[in-house]
Amino acid sequence: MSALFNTTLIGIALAAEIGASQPLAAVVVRPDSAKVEFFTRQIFPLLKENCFKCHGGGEKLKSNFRITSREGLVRGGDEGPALNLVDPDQSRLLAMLSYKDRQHQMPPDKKLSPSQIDQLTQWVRMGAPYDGRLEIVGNPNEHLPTTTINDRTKNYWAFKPIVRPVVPRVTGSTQPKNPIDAFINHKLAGKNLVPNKSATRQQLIRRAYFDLIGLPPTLEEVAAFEADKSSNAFEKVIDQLLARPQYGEKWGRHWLDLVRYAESNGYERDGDKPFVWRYRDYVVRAFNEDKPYDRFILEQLAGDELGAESPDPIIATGYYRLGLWDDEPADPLLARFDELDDYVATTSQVFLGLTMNCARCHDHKIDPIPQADYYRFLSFFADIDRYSASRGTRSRANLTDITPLVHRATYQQELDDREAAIRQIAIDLRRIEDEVIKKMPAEDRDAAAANDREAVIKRRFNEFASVEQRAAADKLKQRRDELLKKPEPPRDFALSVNNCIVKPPSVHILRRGNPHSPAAEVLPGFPAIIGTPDPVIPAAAPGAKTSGRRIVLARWIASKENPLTSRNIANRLWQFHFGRGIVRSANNFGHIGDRPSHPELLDWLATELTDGGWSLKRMHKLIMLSQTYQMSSSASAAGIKTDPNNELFWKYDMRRLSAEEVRDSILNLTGQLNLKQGGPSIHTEMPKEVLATSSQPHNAWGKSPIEEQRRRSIYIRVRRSLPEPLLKVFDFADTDSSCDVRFVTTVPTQSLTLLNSKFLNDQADALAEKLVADAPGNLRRQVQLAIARASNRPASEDEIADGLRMIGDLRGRLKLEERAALSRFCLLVLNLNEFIYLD
Amino acid sequence: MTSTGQNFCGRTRRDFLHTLGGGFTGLALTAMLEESGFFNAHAAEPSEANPLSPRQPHRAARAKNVIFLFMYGGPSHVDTFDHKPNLYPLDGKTIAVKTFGRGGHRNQGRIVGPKWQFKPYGQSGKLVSDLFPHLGTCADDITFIHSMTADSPIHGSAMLMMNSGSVISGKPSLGSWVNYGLGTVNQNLPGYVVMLDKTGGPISGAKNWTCGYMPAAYQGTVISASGTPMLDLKNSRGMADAEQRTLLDYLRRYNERHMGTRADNTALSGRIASYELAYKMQMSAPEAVDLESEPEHVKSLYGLGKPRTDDFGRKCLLARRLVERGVRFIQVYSGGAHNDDNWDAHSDIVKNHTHHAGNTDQPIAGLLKDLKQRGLLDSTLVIWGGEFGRQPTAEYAQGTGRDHNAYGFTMWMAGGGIKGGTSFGQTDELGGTAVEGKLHVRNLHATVLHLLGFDPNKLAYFYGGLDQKLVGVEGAEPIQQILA
Repeated sequence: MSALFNTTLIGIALAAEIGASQPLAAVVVRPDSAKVEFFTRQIFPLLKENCFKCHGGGEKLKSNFRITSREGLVRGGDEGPALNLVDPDQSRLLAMLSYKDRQHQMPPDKKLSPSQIDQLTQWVRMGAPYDGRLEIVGNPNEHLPTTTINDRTKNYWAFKPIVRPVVPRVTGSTQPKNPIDAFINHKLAGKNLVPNKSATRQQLIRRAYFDLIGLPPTLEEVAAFEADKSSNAFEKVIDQLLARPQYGEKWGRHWLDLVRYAESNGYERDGDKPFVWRYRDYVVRAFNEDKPYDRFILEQLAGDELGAESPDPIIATGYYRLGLWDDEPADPLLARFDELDDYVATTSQVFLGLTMNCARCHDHKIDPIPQADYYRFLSFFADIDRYSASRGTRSRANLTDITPLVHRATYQQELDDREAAIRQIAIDLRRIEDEVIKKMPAEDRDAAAANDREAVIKRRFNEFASVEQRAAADKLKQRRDELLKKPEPPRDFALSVNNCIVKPPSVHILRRGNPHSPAAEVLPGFPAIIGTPDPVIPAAAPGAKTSGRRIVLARWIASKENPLTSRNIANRLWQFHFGRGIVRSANNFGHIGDRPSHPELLDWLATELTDGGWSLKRMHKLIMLSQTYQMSSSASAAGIKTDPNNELFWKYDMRRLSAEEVRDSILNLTGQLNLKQGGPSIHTEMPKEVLATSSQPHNAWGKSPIEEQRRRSIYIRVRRSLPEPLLKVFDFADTDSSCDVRFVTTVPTQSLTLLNSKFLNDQADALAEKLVADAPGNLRRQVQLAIARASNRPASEDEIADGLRMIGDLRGRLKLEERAALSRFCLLVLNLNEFIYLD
Repeated sequence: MTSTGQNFCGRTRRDFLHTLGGGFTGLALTAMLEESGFFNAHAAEPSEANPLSPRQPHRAARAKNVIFLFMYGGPSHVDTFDHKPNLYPLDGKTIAVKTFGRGGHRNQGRIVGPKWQFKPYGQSGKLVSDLFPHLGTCADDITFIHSMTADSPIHGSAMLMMNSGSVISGKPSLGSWVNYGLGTVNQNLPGYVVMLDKTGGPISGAKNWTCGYMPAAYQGTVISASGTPMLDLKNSRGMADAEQRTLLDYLRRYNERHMGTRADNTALSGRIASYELAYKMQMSAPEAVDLESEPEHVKSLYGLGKPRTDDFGRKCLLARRLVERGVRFIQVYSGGAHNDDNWDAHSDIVKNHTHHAGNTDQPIAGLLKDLKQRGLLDSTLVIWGGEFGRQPTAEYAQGTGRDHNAYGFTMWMAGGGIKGGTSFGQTDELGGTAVEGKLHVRNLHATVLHLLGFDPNKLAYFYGGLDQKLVGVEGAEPIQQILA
């Protein structure tokens, strides 16, 4: 309904779903102007002040009732129509305003005055005329529930099947070569905007390097690109970057953010996750090999069920083991469901963009995800055993021997026998201890039954054990120690899922999410809104080590038919190239998330991805070869005026380097960066002030050789209780849950770090040393090189002059040695905005 | 929102509104924010350029600052402030009592009688144990809460609960919520600071002052009451001020030249400004921590110069100086690391509590008295307590150690809109379980937010598809009975 016409609709109000019923019989009348004026003068200010904030004037539409338009009044809300136009005095609106409807007294904070209620009553008796010019009209479907599952909610943009959109024809010009530009330019034209001109070659290559490998180009690489006049010059740049091993480090890091990658468990002991680095290396390798994304999904969710020879799919299931793990939970059953919730939350958000986790305690409040769907989804993971059954951080459930089979065969039998013997000894020993514990006082018995068995045995076993019991225990321990001392064959382990529960216990809906209050049993199933029939889980084969459920889920997610999966990853690819997704809320495609700014483009990208065999490298190239990617980041007056937030992509958004890019670029500039790949994580030099924050200041962190400390930031150990300070201050991802978008803050503590920290000052010295070596005795050249290498472009005369003046100033006025003065200048260079920001 | 540049956290204005106001009425919030210049271009708004710009709470605040004295490890309430006369004669007797601690669920236990006598103090006649002869004299300024409960009797999860309202890691801490809600009035100092014990941090380290899913700007800053106060506040090479000033002046020239054609990007000007803020912080923070400028009688009030109390006394005195300089939220840890380095008295309550109470009694009393005589106590909320209390029973068959107890324990609050000289709630006659006026940690958090001017059930941050709140989806009411 247009707000421009001074007319109103009078009809019989029916709260019915649009599309499911006939349009309302309506009579258009021209209200007399006196009534409208009464509305404008008396009623509108009253409604605006008292009602608008909850009912359509702002973000809220409480009870799905809109009071800001006449149509909204007629339509009513969850309680029914607000007006009774046949018998106005019986209108629900008046019953609520007069507080006669005791369940619904409006406004809830304070009853209106009698004269105000009187005015409103008069107005309703007039037929509640509205001034169309003052109306705020909402989305036609806004009042309809988003949480039910029906044809309408299935038609929501994220849930409906993807149909490859037709590439729009842009009027007045020839069709752009790259369809991405057609989608973008088409929308821009609708707002009378034009795309920015191209970025300079220097800006473009710098952008491409950071986007693909997280490191800047050398001056020579910039110059070569600027000189390359061939039509595919940029394509060649992209190809060689995609072929570099650093590509996997840059894009693998994006993935690690999503899957909450950390190398410790959190909580009191914050214990290490054994061999977790293999998962990190797997991810880097997967990107470098351009592993098809559907395969990447299968391996992480069900690699142990793929029957593959390579250890990679096993390592990939480390995905499940990256999260928090409380080794001493107050409520073990709840802790078990917290672990499962972590799988549900991470898997649904990361692969599907669904917040299934919001339906743990009740039906999802916003999206069509009933609570039953949460538990059906959860039951796919029910075969994964707890991270560890004891406080030990290594367990039969979280480690898999991935030693090549040919080696494993030579020792497996012997090891199995040895392990069986050790297990038997443990059982025998425990039986003796149990007998002794029975003789102890109640407190110790209880302590032993709970968390402190070991402490009790250590303190009091000898005191209460008989001579025979002591002798028997000693003998067993001796035998055990002998077995443990036997040399072990060299073996490789992966953090993974292993020894899964072949027949998982039944899964129930939990009332209010409480595991102590199970309700109806559920079977594994997909979110009903997508409409896939319930799966049949094949019976486990003899000797199986899993229930076979996860592969069923993985295949459903990794399917072209799944409308969420390809949209989701296409959106992330866009996000990491442009700084924000086509859907900004990348982990949440639901109703409370953001709508896509370019839904057709997103669907087009999704089909390009699946049609291209899920190759991500192909998509990088496609995106980067678009004019949209290659636009300048400079502002235009028209763009700023019409679309200040660049919703439509009329320019490329400048971006600050990520935490890792900042640190890696510094090391790169000073010539110290060590590009060694993979392996166990490294320890940077942790400031003692930061170590002092640990409950174990002396064991909290290690020390790597200096060469190792200079490796790329992706290899720095990620300890949940002890974040690396440089990375943390530049907005490193929080690792307790999936991080889809990193913050980009600007705070003085970043400046303090870059000015004062030991790392930065060491690096400034290193840069000075390198400059002196590269241009001995030529201070001007040293300054010139420093600026040029930091900005990846030639230094201007003004910039060189300023640098020389600063050094002269430090030497003359402040009596610094030449090298010290140069070092200060180098510190300045490492603090330049241009060094930290990309055009 | 500023009309140019990127949005806060790469989110839309709608989300941002959601972020700050999803829980409360959108328009009212918008109006409020507009009044405070929130959406005027370049005005104080939590943006990338300045996430810590000062902001107004929902309504007039009773407290402007909070000092949380965190007795890490869990002090025993029956030996400190919760007098249980019937417990003394039961010493050593094994009786039927349901307990849940680190040693699991039990139905009986050996009573450890309280090891200290209690004396009445002040007009209120509050009974305080002999562990706190100094603090006892402040009883008339304090409300003792005897009926606090928490969800976990295990340090790891209980610490997270007391600091962030949830036993699950990843939520922002109380100080982060305050920082996020109010910003910081003194841009030259962090808005949320944490002082740790010299034996080390509490378990889980930085998780105790984390900003969780909020931007890093809202996390607590660890400061030290001696030496260099903050990480990287001083140049690691000892660069002289004149050198640094020279560097910064030239840096500004380069950065302004770079900004020439990029003036639409407010993050660049924000970054230029952040260097000046950092520079001022370098001047302000050492001045704030310079305790030598305090007169002798003030130092001795806090127990400075005495071996037992010097360390904690310095922290308490620094806390007062930070309050004077506008720091919103200050957390001071008594106890660090593991076992008897903190209040976790599993084997010998006498040795453990004598040590920790003796280190902190005079400094805390000094702080309350000093705040009061300066007229600061009215607007400064002081909180005392640990992540839980301790059992009336022993954990092991030998010794006077007590296990953890989250079913009922004592915390106290003073100043900042809290009544003085009263006690609220009760545990049973053994001190095992809260039986009257039972409260949850969320009520404590709600009270803090309430006194700072927030509706605790409306201060929300949009994350993960949900309006997240410190008081959780369950919500919580402030403890009305203890408000002045």
